[in-house]
Amino acid sequence: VNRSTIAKLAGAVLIAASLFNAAYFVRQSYHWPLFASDDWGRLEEDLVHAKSVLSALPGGHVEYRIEEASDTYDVTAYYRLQNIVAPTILQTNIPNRYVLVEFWTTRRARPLPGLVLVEDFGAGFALYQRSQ
Amino acid sequence: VIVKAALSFSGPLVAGWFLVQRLWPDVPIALRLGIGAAAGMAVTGSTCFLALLLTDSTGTALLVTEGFLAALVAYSFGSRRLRPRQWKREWPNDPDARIFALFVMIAMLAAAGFVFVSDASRRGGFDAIALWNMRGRLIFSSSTSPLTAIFDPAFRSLHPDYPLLLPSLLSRAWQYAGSDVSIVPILLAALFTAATIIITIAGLRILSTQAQSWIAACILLGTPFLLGHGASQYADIVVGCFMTTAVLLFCIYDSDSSLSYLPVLAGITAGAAACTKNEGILFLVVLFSSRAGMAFCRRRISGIAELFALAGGASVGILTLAVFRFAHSPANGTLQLMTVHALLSRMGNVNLHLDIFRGLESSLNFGQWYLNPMPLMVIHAVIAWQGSLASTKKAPWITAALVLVGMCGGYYIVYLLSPDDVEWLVQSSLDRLLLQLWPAAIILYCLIVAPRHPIEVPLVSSRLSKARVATALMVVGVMLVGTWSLRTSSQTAGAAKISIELDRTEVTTGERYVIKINGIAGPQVYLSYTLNDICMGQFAAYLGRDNRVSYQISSTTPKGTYRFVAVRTPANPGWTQFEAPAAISVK
Repeated sequence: VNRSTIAKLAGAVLIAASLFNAAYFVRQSYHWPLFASDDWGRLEEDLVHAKSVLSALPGGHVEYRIEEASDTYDVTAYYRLQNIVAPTILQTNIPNRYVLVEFWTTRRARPLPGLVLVEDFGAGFALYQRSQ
Repeated sequence: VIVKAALSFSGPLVAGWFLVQRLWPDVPIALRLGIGAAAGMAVTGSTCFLALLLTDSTGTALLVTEGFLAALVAYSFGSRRLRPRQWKREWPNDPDARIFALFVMIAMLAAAGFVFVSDASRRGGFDAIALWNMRGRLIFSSSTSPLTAIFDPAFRSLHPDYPLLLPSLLSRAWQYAGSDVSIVPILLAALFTAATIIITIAGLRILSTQAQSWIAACILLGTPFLLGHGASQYADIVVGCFMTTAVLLFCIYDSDSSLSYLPVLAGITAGAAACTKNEGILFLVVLFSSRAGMAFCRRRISGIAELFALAGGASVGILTLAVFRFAHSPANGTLQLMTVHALLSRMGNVNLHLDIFRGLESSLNFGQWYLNPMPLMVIHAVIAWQGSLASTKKAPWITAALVLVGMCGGYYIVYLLSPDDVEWLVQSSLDRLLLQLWPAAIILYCLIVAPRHPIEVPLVSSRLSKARVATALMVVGVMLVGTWSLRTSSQTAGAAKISIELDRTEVTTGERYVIKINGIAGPQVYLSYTLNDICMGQFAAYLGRDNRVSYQISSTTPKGTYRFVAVRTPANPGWTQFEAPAAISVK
């Protein structure tokens, strides 16, 4: 067996494998339509006003609380919200005078014990203030 | 907005283009484009990061960066240019047209796949959302102190010791665009992914045959994980691009040492790698050690000059990193544990070694290939290996080989010393670490099987076939057995009944508890849970080979009774309720 034959054979097999791999990648990732609006984009639009209200709060921090979480809620939702409302910093376990509450399931704000509603932003988000 | 965002990249690209032209006048145009993009982004990111650390002001950092880029372009134009020299283009006759046509086909498929994945995860993967893009947004949007925002206690668990080159680049582009549009991280991810591929192809056209450079390009473009991970906007592709550039530049330098400025360029990109991710720091150390070792072995004065050039190029990156480490960043947990005593005591733990090797076994298909090219590449390299390659005075492959060995050794030590669960750590990170080194591995493969001046040895001798074929078969055998055992174990696990067990019912701050889930195919699963009977959603867990995962209670963990009620795999969105949910009280 000649070395150049081995090289040609190896090259041909590697290119064929690469072609399969690239086609497999397209098959796995294919979806249509492209550039459709996503949940993140819709949430960004819903929270335009909320972002300006939160950024005007003193201290730059607000407590974040999730209500009515279901199996579909995970920590990614928190980071998504943090990206949208930056530079305001959402604190999950540190009490703050102001509390941003996300109602995960009903997407509707309601009275909560120990908190006074400041503003209902819609889309399941509301700003509260601690009564004490 | 898109045009403005794209324009923000023109400054680094132009500066990189002229910088490469200044230091390497007769560089081929494709290589100038690729290395120019990497070097331009390296200079821009390092400068922006350093200026941010020194001024703690987003606006001032932008002004300083743009001023530096303008000065760099002016210097490249104004200073005396190096005398161009011609490359000896002595490539053998390759079937270029056919291979090129196949390359174009694969490239089109890869580009389409990249667009689909970018569209599906246009905000990036989890690390992009929680780490890189979020920090970029905090820098961009902070009107007072960006550093205070980044190091806020709310983000204490998000690796605050990770360097800020990538967030600085994102913030700079968003400042140009005027808003934090999601197209910026997508464009940046595409830029670095494309640059990695272009640099590899164009570099191999100098070091290897044309045909082999197209084969290398096909292998890279046929790596789904490279494209998918690039599209997910993680920093691994960025650091991988910088690593590839530095390794390739040294390979070219070793083939023609008259290109004395290449170590400077390599230093710039290696320094930027260190400012991008912690793996980049290891890379810088390994690269410098490799070159120092080679200089010592060759016993030539030019080796010392080369080390100075490398250090000079990396100086901005090293300075930036030093300011970040000593003035801002908290200490890295793993680095604190790196003592000789800890290393010796952990080296004696056989289970740790086994865990790491099992993780390596499960990461053999890290590229997420449908057809894994690695076994064939190994066989081909073993068969094609020529003794004369090792004795060649100028051996372009040595740097790539030393860097790959050094990096893998470094990763091994980090895994060994890590305070985290080793199984989880290996499973969640090794594929990404291997991906960073994948282009350098392909470069090494090409330099072995098709060096630029091949020595013709017409027949494979019987000596060659016995030892090498045995080695190649062993490697392939290990890979096949590993893949087979993984598939068998997951199929077996899938058929069993699902149950959950906890090793304790109460736990306090600082203590650990272990969850064991039987009957589900891991390693990654999602668990849904309640806190004081209120549903809290789901979280991801990595199960070890014994189906266990352990967690430590931190001071910020909310107190109460946690109950784990259902489990699912990433592939199956349907939940399976535990017959007997397990509960634990955090006191």
